[in-house]
Amino acid sequence: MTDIVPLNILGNSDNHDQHGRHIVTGKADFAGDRLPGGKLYGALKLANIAHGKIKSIDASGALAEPGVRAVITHAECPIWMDAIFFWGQEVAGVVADDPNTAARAALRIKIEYEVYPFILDPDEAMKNGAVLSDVLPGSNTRLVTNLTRGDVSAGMARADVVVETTQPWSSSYQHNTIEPHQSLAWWVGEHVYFWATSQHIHNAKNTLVNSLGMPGNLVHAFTHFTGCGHGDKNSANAAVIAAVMSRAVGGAPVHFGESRHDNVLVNTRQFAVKSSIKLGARKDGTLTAIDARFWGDGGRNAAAPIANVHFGLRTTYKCPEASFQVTVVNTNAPPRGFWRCVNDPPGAVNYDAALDKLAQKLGIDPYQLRRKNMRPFDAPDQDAPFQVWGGTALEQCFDWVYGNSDYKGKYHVAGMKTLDDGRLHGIGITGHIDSHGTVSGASRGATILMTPDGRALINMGGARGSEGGATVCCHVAAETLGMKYEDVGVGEWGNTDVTLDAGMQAGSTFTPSAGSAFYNAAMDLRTKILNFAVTRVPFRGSAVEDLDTKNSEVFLKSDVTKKLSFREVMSGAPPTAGVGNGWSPSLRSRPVGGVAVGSACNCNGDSATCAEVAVDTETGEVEILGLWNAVDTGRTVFKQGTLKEMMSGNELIIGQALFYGDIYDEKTGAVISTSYVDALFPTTLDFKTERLHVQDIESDDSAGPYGAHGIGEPCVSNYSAVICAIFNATGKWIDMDKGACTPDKVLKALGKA
Amino acid sequence: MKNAGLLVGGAAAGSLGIVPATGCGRKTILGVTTSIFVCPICGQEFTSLEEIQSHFVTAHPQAGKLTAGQLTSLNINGIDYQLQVRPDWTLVFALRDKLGLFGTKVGCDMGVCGACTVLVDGVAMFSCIMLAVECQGLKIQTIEGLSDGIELSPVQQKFYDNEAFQCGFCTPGFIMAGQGLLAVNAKPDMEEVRQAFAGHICTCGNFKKTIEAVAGGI
Repeated sequence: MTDIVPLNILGNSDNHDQHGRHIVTGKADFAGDRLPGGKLYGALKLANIAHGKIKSIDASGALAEPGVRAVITHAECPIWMDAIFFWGQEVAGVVADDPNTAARAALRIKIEYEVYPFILDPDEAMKNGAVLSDVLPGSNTRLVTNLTRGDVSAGMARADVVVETTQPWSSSYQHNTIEPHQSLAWWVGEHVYFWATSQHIHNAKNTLVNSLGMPGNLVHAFTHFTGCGHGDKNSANAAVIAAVMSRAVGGAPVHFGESRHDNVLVNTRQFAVKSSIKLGARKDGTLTAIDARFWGDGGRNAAAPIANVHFGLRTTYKCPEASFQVTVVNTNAPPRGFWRCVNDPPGAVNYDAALDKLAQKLGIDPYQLRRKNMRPFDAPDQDAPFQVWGGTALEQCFDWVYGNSDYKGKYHVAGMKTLDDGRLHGIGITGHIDSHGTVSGASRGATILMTPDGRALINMGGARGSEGGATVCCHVAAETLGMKYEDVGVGEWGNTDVTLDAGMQAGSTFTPSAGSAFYNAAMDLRTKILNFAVTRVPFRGSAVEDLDTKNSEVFLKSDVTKKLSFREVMSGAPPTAGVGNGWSPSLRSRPVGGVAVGSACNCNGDSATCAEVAVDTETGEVEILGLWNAVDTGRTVFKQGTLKEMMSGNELIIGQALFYGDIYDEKTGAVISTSYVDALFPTTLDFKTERLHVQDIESDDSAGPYGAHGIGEPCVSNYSAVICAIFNATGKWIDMDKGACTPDKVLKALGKA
Repeated sequence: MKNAGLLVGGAAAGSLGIVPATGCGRKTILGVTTSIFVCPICGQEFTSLEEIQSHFVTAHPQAGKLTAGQLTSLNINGIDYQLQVRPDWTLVFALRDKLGLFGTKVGCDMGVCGACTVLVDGVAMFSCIMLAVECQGLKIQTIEGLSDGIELSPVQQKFYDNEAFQCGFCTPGFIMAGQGLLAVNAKPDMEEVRQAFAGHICTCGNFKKTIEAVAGGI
C-alpha cells in the first residue's frame, strides 16, 4: 500500500466541529425551531386498516373542534392516495392553533373504508395463491438481481465440501430517529418557503417542485441541522405535507411535526432478509462455487433498495463460479427503505453465517477461511464492467481487529468455552467491501467565498447532519487553500436559493462527492488568490507557479521570507469566490493494479469487526465483552468526527443485533411498537462503552479528495460479527424472526423455551 | 392530564382544559338523588346539561377563550415571565413555542427519550411530561441558561472539547442531565454517569462520548 503522507489539516485531531458551539449552547436550529407564537400546527390521521380503499372521509367532527383551521386529504395532498397499503398510512391531516388540538381533532375524522384482505408475512406472501398486497400488480414478488459468473455446477462438482444453508429473516425496524420528521412551511403569494429536516435539501426542493407541479424558482427550501438521518431523512414527505397544510390556511406558517407514534408508523424502515446459500470449497478452504439466493421484505415499497444484499459476498471473495439472485417480496407492512448501510447489514448476516457454517464443516477457523479467499486489494471487480477498485485496505482492517481483539488467543470451536461465571464465551470476526461510498460526479457543486479580512467561508447546499458534513468540507477547503483551519468557516448553508447542491448526505457519498466539489472550488479560489498575489509587493515579477500557500499565508517558494497573509493579499481586492463541481469516480492520484490514473474505478468503503460475547444460558441475555471495528477511510478528513462516526456504528450494531425489531399485531397488520418503550433502543446501562474500540485505517485511496472516501456505512456492516459470535458461544444459530437476538430467542435456540 | 376536557359545558366551551372545583355534583333531596350542574364561572346551578350549555353560550360567550388560558408566572433562567398558559400545555411547549427557547427539544413527548430535559430547582426533569401551569414558583433552567452563548459553561465546554455530540438533537438533554448530576456529585465515575444518563436515548449512537464528557467531573 502507498505510504500515507501527513497533511496539514486533514486528520488533525485538534480540529473541532464547526457547529459544536451551536449544539452545546442549544443554538442548533432544527426545522421546527422558529416562529414562536407565530405558527399553526399540523397533525396526521392514519389508516387503521392494512389494505383497502377510502370510501368516504367525514371531517365535520374535526372542523367543529375549536381551534381547528383546516383539514386536508388526498384530494389536497398529491403524495397521498385513496388506496391503502399498510396500517398507519397517512389519510388526512389537521391544521390547528396548537398541537394538542390538531392531534385531538385528527381522531375525530371519520373514515369509511372498503377493506381488502391483507398479507403481512413475507413467507406467506411468496407462496402461490397468496393474498396479493397489490403493491405491484399480479404478484407479491419481483426478481431484482440475477447475476451469474462462470459455471456454478462445474464449480460445485470440483468442491470437496458443499454446504447448503438457509438463514431465517434478519431484523426489521424503523430508525426511530430522535428528531421526528418535521417541517415548517408558508406561502407568500405563489412562492412557497419551507424549513425541513433533510439529508438532501436540494432534492427536497425538487420533490416539492414535482409533487406540487411548481416552477423551481417559486420553491425555496432551507435546512440547518438535521437530527440523525441514517437514511430516514432522505424523504421530503413532511415538507410536502407542511406546504399543503399551509396552502389550506391561506399560506400561514404551519409547523407539521410527526408524533413519535406517527413517525414510527409512517416512515421507512430497515428490511428483513433471508437466504438460501450453497457454498462449495476445497478441503483447504478455497471457494470453488457460490450459489446465493436472497429474499428481502420490501413491505409496501415496490422499490425497496434490496437489490445489493449480495454485494459483500460478490465483491469481497474471489470465486470464479458464482450465481446471485435477489427477490423483493411485497407485503401490506410499512414501507422499507434506507436504513444506515441499507442492504449490507442484513446481507452480511446471511452470507457471514453461511461462511461460518462452511468453516465449521471444513473444521477451520472462520477467520482463516475469509482471509484465504479475500480478493486482492487492487484486483478488478470479478463482474462486468470489471472496474478496478480505487483501493481497499480490507486486509489491514482485518489485521487490526484480529490483533487488537486477540482473536487468535480467544478463538475456539463453537460451543466449547464456558466462562468462570457459567456463561458461554463466543467470538466472531467478519468484514467485507461495502456497497456504499461512491462519488456522485459533476452534479455536486460548491462555492467558497474569500472575505476581505482573509477568511474563507464555504457555502454548502446541505444540512449539518450527524457526520458534520460542513466540517468535512472546511477541512478539504483549508487543506487545498493552504489556510489554517481556524481561518475557514461556514457561510451560508442549507439554503437552496443561494447554494449549489452539495448532494445527498447518505450512502457514504458526501465526503467523496461534496468533498471533491469543495476541493475543486478551493483550487479555483487558490488560483484567483495567487493571481492577486503576483500584483502585490513582494511578489511582483513572479509567476503564479512561483508561489505557494500555507498557514493562511502566500509565500515565494524560492524565498519563504517573502510572504503575505491572505488578508494582506485580499486587501482592496473585489469579492472573490471559487466554484467547483465534484468529479466522477476515477483513479485520481495514482495507478492501481496497472490501471492508469484517470481511469474509471469503484470507490467503496470496507471494514472489519470482531465481536466477543458472553451468553447466559439461564436468562438468554447476551453481553458484549468487546467490539473492535476498523474502517478503511482512504484518508481521514475530520479526525474526531470520523472516530465518532465509527463508534456510532458500533453502538448501532449492538442495537441491531440485540435490541431493534418491529412488533406487529398480526390480526390487524398494525405495528404496535411505536415508542421507545416498545421499539427497544439500548440505553447507557445496556453495554459498557469502554469495551468498544475503533480504528481508522488510512490507505490513500485513489479516488475522492486526497484519497478520502465515505465511512458512515461500512462501520455498521458488521452486525454479523455479533451474530457469528453468539453462534460461536452457543453452537446454535438464533432464529431472529425479523427482530433481534433477544433473550427469548436465545433460550428457544438453546432448547430452554 | 393533557387533553382533559371540561368537567361541564362540553362543546360550548370546547375541551380545552381542566376547570377546577365543582363543575358537576350530586345533591340528595328528600332521598332523591339529583344531578346538578354548576357553572364554574358564575356559580349558577342548573339541572341539565342542555341548560348549562345554553347558559354558556348566552352568559359567557367568551368562555372558550377564558378557559383557553390562565396567567401563569414562570421563572426561566432567572427571568420571570407572565404567560397566558393553557392548562394542557406542557412545560416544553411553553418554553419552545411561547418563549422561543428552542434549545430544549421534543423527541418523544412522553417522557422516555430525555431530549426535553431541563433543571427544575436544580433537578433534571423531563419537561414534556410536566404541565406549564404546575411550574409556578419553580426555578426552571434550560440549556440557554447555562451560559451567555459566548463563554461556555464548564459542562458545555467539556461536551465541546470532547466532541460529545453527533447530530446534536439529544445533546441539550444530556448536558442538562450532566449539569444536574454534577451539582450533587462533582466527580461521578463511569457507572454513576451511566445511571444518570439511563433515561436518555441517542439514536446516533454517541453514548461513549457523552459519558466520557461527564465522568470524572469537570
